[in-house]
Amino acid sequence: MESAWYYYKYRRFIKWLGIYLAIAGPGIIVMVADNDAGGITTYAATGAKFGFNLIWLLVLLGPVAYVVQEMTVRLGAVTKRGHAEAIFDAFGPFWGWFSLIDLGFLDFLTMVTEFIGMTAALQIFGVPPILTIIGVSILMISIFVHGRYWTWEKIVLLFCVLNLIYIPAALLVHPQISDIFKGLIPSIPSTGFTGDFFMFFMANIGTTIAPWMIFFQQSSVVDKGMTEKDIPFGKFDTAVGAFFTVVVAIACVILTGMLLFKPGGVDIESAAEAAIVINGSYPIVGTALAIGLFDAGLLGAMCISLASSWAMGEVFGWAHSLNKKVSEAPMFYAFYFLSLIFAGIVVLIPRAPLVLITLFVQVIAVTLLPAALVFLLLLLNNEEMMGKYKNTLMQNIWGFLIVISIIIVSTLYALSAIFPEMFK
Amino acid sequence: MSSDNIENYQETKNMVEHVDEISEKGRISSVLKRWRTAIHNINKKYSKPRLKMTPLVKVSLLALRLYLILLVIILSYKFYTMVM
Repeated sequence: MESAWYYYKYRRFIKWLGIYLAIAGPGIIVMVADNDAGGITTYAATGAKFGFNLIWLLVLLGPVAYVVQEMTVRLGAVTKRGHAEAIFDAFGPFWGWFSLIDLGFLDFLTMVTEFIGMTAALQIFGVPPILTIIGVSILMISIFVHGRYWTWEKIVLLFCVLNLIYIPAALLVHPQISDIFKGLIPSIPSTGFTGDFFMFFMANIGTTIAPWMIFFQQSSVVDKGMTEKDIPFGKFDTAVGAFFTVVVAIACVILTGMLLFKPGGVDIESAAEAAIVINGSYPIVGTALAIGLFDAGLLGAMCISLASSWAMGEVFGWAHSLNKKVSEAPMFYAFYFLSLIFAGIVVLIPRAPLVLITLFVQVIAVTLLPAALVFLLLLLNNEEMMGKYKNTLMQNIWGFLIVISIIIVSTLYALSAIFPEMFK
Repeated sequence: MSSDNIENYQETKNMVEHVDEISEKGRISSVLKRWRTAIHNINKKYSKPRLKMTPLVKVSLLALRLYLILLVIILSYKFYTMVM
């Protein structure tokens, strides 16, 4: 009798796993791609500057990202609309155009930063930037034109697995478990609550939620054809993604915390710089850091460009599904290809203001992020639209607290980018 | 080639160039017209916001507007101080 019960449980679990594996994708992809080139640079710099002292913050940021992204799963599955179209529909053309134009501009600039990360990573192996740009563009286009969402998603999931390279790399440097546990306890470094600490604190929160993530996951849920009954699986998928994001971020901090950190902190400008320095003494770890940086940039570029293309397709009424062939959705694919090619060209322009572009991304993000988050909360509270899937009181309390905190911190971070002396 | 032929040739060449120019302008204007129509249709399609304008929605949208205006003022100030 007992064995029959276990067998029943086992069969149920296998069935559940089968459904989950079919639905898994959008949540994991968006969360892992959140650790893009900019994110990896932030984590590498955090480890070099503060050692393991900020690991607790990264752990807290996992649930924060989950709470926001979970809302996009419900919104996409119930309304069958992407975020751009949902904003136009619910708030009218003014907020719609504002969001669409801001998203297009911001995504393009963020793509430039992803290309900067990729070229810097491959330069460590002696690959010239022009070859990287051409190679990456061909790779991204060939992944994109299969005419099947499923194929695109599974290929991108493979790149997500490659992003986990930081975990074995962190194990290779033999960190003390007791030190990691100490880092899990919320604390301020021995140097005190300095301007630098506040800057890194804000930068880590700033990398957790980007506007493209909201647009990407909602459109992805719609393109995949997820319905209301798939919501629990979509939520689980997002939670799995959030878990891996946090683990990769911690692994990255452990790497530079172990190999670069000295009392008082070490300043590094980019993850590529960290990889070069580490390469001298630990070639395998340095190589892993560079490969991870390239992969992070690639994942970011693939998702960000797609987020813009989906948004444009939704609003302009173009065919905009990865399940369509190039001939069936020419404008959708043309927008994707052109944004990709132009972002690559910008990186190759001699003396292009790349530092300024990176700075600009932070500033422009802060014009769109509050709007996108507020719209998300308002839409999730609309009973007519969401029915029984609207936010509960607890979801609203958490959502409201998180949205307000993200808006305040990201605004302060952008202000610190505009006025560098502000928190010194 | 006689001078008449040269003149005819030049005239024909000018005419072809002129037609090309007109058709190029025509193509550009037709593309612009198509975009304008598309934008007009989008504005018309979404002219009435579906979300009910409850006090909460109104306050949220007002707060967003004020926030954006403040950001624009800060950015303008930064730009002004940089230029000056």
